[in-house]
Amino acid sequence: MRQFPLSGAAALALWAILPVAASGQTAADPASADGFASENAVLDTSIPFAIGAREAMQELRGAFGWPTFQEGLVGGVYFRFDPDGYARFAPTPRLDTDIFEVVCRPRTLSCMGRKGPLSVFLNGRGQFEIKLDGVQEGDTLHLAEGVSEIQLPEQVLMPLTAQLETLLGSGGELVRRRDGEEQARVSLTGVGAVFAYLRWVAAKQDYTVLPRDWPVPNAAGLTDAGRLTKPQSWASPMPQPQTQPMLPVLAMPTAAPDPAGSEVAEVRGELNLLRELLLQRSAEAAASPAAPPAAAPPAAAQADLPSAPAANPAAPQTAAMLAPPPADPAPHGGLASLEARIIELQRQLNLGRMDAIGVPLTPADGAAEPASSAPGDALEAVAEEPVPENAKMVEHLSYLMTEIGLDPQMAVMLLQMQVEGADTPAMSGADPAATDLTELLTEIGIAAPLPGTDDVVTGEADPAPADPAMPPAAAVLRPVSPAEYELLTDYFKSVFPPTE
Amino acid sequence: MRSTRQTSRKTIRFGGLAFGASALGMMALTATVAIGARTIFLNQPDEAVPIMAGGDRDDLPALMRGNLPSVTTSMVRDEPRRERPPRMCEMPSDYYDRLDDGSADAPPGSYTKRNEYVRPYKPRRGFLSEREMRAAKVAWHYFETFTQEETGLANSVGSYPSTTMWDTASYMSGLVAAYELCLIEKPEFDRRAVQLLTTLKTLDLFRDELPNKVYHTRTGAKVNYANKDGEIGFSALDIGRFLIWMRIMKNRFPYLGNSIDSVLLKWDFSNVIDEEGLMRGAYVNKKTGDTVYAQEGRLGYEEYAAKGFALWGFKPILSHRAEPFLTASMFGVAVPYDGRDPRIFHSQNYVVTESYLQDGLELGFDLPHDDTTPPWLHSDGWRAEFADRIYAVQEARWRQTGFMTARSEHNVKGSPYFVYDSIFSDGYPWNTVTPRGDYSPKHAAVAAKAALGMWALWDTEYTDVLFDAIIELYDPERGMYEGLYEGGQGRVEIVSANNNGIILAALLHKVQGPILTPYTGSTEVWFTAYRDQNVREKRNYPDPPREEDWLPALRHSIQSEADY
Repeated sequence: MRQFPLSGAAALALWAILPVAASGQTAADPASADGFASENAVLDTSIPFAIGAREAMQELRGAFGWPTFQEGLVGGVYFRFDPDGYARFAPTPRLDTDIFEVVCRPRTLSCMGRKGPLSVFLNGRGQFEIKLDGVQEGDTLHLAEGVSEIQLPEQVLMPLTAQLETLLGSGGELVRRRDGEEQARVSLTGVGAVFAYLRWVAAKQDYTVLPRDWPVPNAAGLTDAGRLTKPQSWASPMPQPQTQPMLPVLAMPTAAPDPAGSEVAEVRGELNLLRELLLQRSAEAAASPAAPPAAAPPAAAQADLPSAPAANPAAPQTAAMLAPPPADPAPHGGLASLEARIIELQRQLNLGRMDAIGVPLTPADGAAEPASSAPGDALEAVAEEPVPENAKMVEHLSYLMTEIGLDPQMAVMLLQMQVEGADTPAMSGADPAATDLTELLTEIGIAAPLPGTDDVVTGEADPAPADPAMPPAAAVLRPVSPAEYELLTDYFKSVFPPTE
Repeated sequence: MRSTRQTSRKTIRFGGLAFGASALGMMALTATVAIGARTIFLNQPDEAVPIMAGGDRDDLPALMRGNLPSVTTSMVRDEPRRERPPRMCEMPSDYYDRLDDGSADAPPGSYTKRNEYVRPYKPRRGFLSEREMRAAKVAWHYFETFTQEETGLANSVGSYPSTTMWDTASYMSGLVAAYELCLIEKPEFDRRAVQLLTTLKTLDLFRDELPNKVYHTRTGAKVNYANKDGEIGFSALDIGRFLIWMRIMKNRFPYLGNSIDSVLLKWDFSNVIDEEGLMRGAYVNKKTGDTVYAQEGRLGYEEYAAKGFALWGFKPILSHRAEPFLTASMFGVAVPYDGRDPRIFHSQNYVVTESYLQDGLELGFDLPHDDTTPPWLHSDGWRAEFADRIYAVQEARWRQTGFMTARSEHNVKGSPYFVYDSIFSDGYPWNTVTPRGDYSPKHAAVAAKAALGMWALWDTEYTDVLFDAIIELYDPERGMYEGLYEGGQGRVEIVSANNNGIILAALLHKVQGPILTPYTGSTEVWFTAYRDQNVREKRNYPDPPREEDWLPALRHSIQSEADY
């Protein structure tokens, strides 16, 4: 024995609506037909309810009535409705058989559909409720489709769930049985369209509430009542995937955004341009007659270069740059020293940038040359400084994204590569000796124009052995072959996949 | 032997002299006769009648001045005009004994050479019985109750203060009938008529053309269908019916002629009838606010309204034609319906009794120019023949199904407030549809106006049944009800001007026959006004119709046997 209790709200709503439904077609007094005033029209018949619907003029012979109506076809049923919300749905254009009739309370959007003993309306929470006349305790309801029939749960007479709404909206016939014997049978043809219509009316003809699951563009700023489709602000009670910002690296396997490729190309182009500029300048410097080797930069300044641990990595470098240049005893010292100074500043800038962007001090592909055995005191001191790794990574990430303009995915990838490089003994930066500045400069292809290495840059022979008396920074310099200029390209090729 | 007889021989000379003498004599005789004749001719008095401008022989200038009477059959055929019948209370007791029913003069159910039709049915004629008189009083009581003192306009439906030109014509119908049936006397009639005409003259027209579709009866302001200030457009059908009753009043009561003419001389007819003679209504484009003119009317109503325009000299040639029409076989009767597909033209082609009834009751199924044919001969022949089919199919339904049938448009209580309770519509027989086209069979009813109209025009056993069904459907305080629901839901407890006006017209027809009487004057202000200006051209006022302007008398094939 099943029971079909009606909820209190549903009963109340039905109580409120039924008198209208019962009398809507017969009891109104034409003498008070002010109901045709525009303020009593709840619907604009010029707004189509469905594709192909049209507004038409009523063929009025009398002195009052609604001047227009709308008719069309939706979900396999024809419909017509008046500005007061009164509508009929039927599978034939004549609207003569199997009619679903919708009546509304005057001047309200509270409407109810009715077909024989079946009534359907929208409650205050935007859920449909149905009522079937004559239902008694112990009756069972079935949904019949041809010869097949399924029994409906008792919740069908409560506020409908989405599943039950979809099920009923699919059509068929609603059968009421008592002790297995059929008591009533109601066609559900058109109930889906009536559902959509009731929601559409309740939503004040909002274009986001349409039949047949139409797409919903720009659904923001609407009330939730009567929605068929839900905007993003809708809080579903079901578990939903979190929409917190995800690290781009997690999305790498699926697709890399096209802008990343273009940005990489831009960075690569800028670096190449800078390298060519420096090479040109160094060549000019080498062509200068009797150009004495530039004095090595102060050790302190060199020592600051690789560390750049501060929050602003450019600050110590700037301080070094602003330091007075050493005296230049050589003739033509003015121009040569100026050139040397420019090159030195450029080099320091590049070094700082490379450090800032977290470029590993050893090649990522592990093909780097063995670590130098001349780390220098300054490097050791730098290595011994307590550096907050997280802060550094944040700084690097911020710099990569804001200054360099890399997309987050690429920036994080670079940082990961740096971390991996740090963790790998072969490419370890833990050994200060492995962080050979020359190697780094060679890798990035901008290390050549260092003072005192003109001959190397120009490819001219006789590389002088490192003078033990030279400052530590100068001691780490070693000859670089022109072939090594390709290493940067190879490096980026290994990092960035081809964009094509 | 020698003959004694001797013939005298004449010489050639003698012959020549004799010929010359004879010729001379003939010439002298001829000259004498000619001179004598000339003398006689010249001595005759001068009897040539000069053609005076504006005189009887000066047709064209007189027409241009509009001071010629409309040409009717009485003028062309030199036949006596029909006479206006006396009021019922002034009729001698033997009045109906002297009527010519024409039963022996023409075979029923046939056309004459002039395409006049002789109906096989007879209308009811005679004094009103007590029941009929009570119905007339109750019907008139509707107008007594729901006429607004401020304007003299009567409400269309009960106490709802709104009306149309169609329903105002129904009020005029009730007013004329009430006077002719001696329900009211001349002072009351004149008071109402003059007040009504005065209000009609002051109506604010739709965009300075023609009356708006709806007016507020208390204020006389043009309103929309919600009875709020506004304008909708104009209805050619409503105006056509209104023109019929303006003509009826003018012909019956010539002293109202100037007032009636002055109402119409304010209107602009330049758009209501096109050059081909097709009637057009007007409505407002909702988006642009522009006036849109569109053909209006379907078979039945269209021809009826067209004759209203023709009564005032217009030439609605196409609107008066039955074509395009088709027939639907129902109970063996070929029911004519409008052939314009409602799916294409978006206009229902409902067939109801009302327009045929009104044609028969008011115009006697006659053409506008006909003022001579007796009541039993209908010069607009095919209209009478079609009307007989409309009647026959309804009687056939009653006989074959038991449903009393008198279908018309009528108001209903509650939504949809109005239905076309049609005999045939949109491809379906017995189709009761709302103004938007919904099938609404629960509103099918025996319409009181249709039942009583059929009772008046078809004196048969079936209409006796109809009469008994509806004659007591009334509220003594409010008037006759709209009808009786076919499905057993009881009375259609709505009272309206149209229903009560037609009921009064049907009762008047029983007493007097066709309500339109001939115009007894010569020219009319309607034709002579504004001749010194270009107003007539701008507003498309017609000239007095000549014989060549008459609507043609046509015939269609008569159904000779049942068509199943």
